[in-house]
Amino acid sequence: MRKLAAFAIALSMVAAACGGGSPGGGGAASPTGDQSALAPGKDVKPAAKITWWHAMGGVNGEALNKIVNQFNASQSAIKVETVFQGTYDDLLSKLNTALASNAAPALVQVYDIGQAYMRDSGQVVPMQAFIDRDKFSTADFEPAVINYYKYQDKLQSMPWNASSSIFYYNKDAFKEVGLDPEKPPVTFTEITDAAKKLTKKDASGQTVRFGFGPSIYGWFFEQLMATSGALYADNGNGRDDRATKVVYNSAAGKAILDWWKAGIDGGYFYNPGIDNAGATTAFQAGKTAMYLESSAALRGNITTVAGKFQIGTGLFARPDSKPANGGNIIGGASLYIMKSRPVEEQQAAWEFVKYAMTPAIQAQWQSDTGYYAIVKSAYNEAPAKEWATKYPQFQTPVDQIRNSPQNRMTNGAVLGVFAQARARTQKMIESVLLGQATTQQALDAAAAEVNDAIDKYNKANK
Amino acid sequence: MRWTARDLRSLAVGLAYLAPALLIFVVFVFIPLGRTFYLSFYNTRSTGLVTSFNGIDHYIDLITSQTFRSSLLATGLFASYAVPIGIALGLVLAVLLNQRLRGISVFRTMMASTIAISAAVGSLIWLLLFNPSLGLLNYVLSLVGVRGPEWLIQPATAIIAVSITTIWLTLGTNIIVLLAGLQGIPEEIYEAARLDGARGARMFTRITVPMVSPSLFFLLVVDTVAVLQAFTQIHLLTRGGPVDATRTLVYSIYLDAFQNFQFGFASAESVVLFVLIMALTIIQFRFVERLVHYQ
Repeated sequence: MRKLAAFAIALSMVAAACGGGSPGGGGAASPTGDQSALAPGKDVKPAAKITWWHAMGGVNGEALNKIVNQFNASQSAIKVETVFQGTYDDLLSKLNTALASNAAPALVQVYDIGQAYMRDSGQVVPMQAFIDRDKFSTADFEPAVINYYKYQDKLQSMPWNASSSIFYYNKDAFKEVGLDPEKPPVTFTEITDAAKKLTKKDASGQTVRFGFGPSIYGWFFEQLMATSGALYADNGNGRDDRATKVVYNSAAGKAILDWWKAGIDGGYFYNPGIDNAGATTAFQAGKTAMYLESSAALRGNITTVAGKFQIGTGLFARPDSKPANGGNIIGGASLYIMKSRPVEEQQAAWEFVKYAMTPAIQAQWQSDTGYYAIVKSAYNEAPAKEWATKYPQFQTPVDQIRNSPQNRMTNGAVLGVFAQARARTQKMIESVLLGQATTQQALDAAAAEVNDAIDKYNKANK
Repeated sequence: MRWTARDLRSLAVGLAYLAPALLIFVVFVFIPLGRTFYLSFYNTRSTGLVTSFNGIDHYIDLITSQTFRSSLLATGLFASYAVPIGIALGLVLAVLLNQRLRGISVFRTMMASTIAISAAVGSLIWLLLFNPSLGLLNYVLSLVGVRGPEWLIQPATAIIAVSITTIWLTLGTNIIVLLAGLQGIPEEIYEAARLDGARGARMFTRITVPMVSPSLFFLLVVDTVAVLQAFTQIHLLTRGGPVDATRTLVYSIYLDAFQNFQFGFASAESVVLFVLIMALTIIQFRFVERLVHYQ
């Protein structure tokens, strides 16, 4: 009897292992020219209630709900409800399932690299349709941000939370080893030289402080390609036409990995793995003296190390030649209005989006979260001014984005399989740092695998 | 045998009683299972919509892929670390907890407490313990003069770290099952063995182990299946890295289905996992069960 019971349990567990698979809806190509026709008519009455899916946890989630509550209180026609769906990846995979069962919400927040995926799904009312219909002005928007979310000059979504990756350093450690704490290193060689000086060993020869310790994050590799003035994917980073392959296995890509690898081998760069939180902890604990992270981590970093050391911020790393066409790509997420909802709900979602883009709300969002305001005039609002006085370091990411030349390299790549591509570049960097492959081998292997995925994606999503 | 009217009637009554359970099984297990088999022969759009028939190409891609081979290796390594050590450790602790001592129930509760901790919480605890900057584990090791490895950074130690977490998570269940098994052993058998002159280790290998072998076998089967399906600890600790060292089959399925949105290919992987677990379970019942002593 017991035997039978054990077998039955085992069998049911086996069967349960094999769930999965989800059916889904169709799609359509996006038209060009004036897109007003794609939006609901101007006289459509907005729905009384819409749902917004977001991926903002903790402090950022509270800041987001604050805005929604303000909107709900500011008028009586529309009520926005928010649903926190976990990480950006979780949200996208839930959205994917929801689209299949027609359960998607009216408004969703999707991360930067989900852009091509969202467009190809054919389930989005392009934001440009509402903008064209209402002659809504985007003249006051940060060009770098708006350019990132434009495809062939049309906005698919409304930029929402924007950040950029910057260079963080420990000013006290700089003073300790005789480096100028007001002059952070920018180029590869400058960072390497500073890292050598900052690396400290104890009597037993164990390293107690590494000079530089960025996590293995695909986003940083993308940024480094952009500051190198090099393309990540063909067809103008997938912006002139759909990308057919990645091209980062170039001299620029190799130079990045060679630099990184040499630092690890020399013992003055630290490898915290793919764990961004781990890299931040190492920096805050003084185990590393410099690292790379999103500008959104600025406030947390300053608060955590208060009383221990001073944090400085600097421009993101770039090659020694400082290519003039190189610069930073923005990161973050944007808002999409979903086509599967009734036009009344689309209309209501657009009303909320317009509210969220007002300078006062943008300034409040910036000071509550550390993402920067997308609307330039927000910087004249009181909360943004207070913020700038309190955190002067915040000027770095803003200047960095404003000073970046606007071209295909700095607009960043658009790929349908970006999540996969990013994960694959992380594996590529790991294999180099762990000594499993040479830089060129690792680059070529990663590119080949991603190209295969792009092929499959392009065939399936024609 | 011929079916009489009475047989048919009792079959109908039996099925009626089973209906609620069967319905749930059909809806949540058999239909998804059938759908998985179906999808494994098709291509899909990233939304999951079926686009074209693909024959056995997904299976061919799978077998020829380097990633698949390395994920089989990772799965095998993971199972061979986590299952035997988890059961052995559970047995040792269960024997210790089976003593009649004052207040032993306090220790029993403590040792079995991991059963009440979710895999997610347990994994986060271990993530902190393994942390190279603040991790308690390497700090404790350094007190005894051992320089701890960078647990989650190096491929060889990452799989060990995931295994340690898994062993810790399953230990509570293992202890409870084995303790129940130990308590079911009649005292007379030990007395008789003692009269025959058996002591310590001999008593353990000749009496205790055979007598709890049904529980051990049960755990072998259930733990193997559970380890082959382990997801949470891998997702939270390593995300399949570094360089695929902890990318087990289940994690591969997750990545292909929910990161890469290749439902056809992920379905083919699921079918392979299904066959693999099934085969392992049959092998366990065929061969290992012969060693089990049922009373």
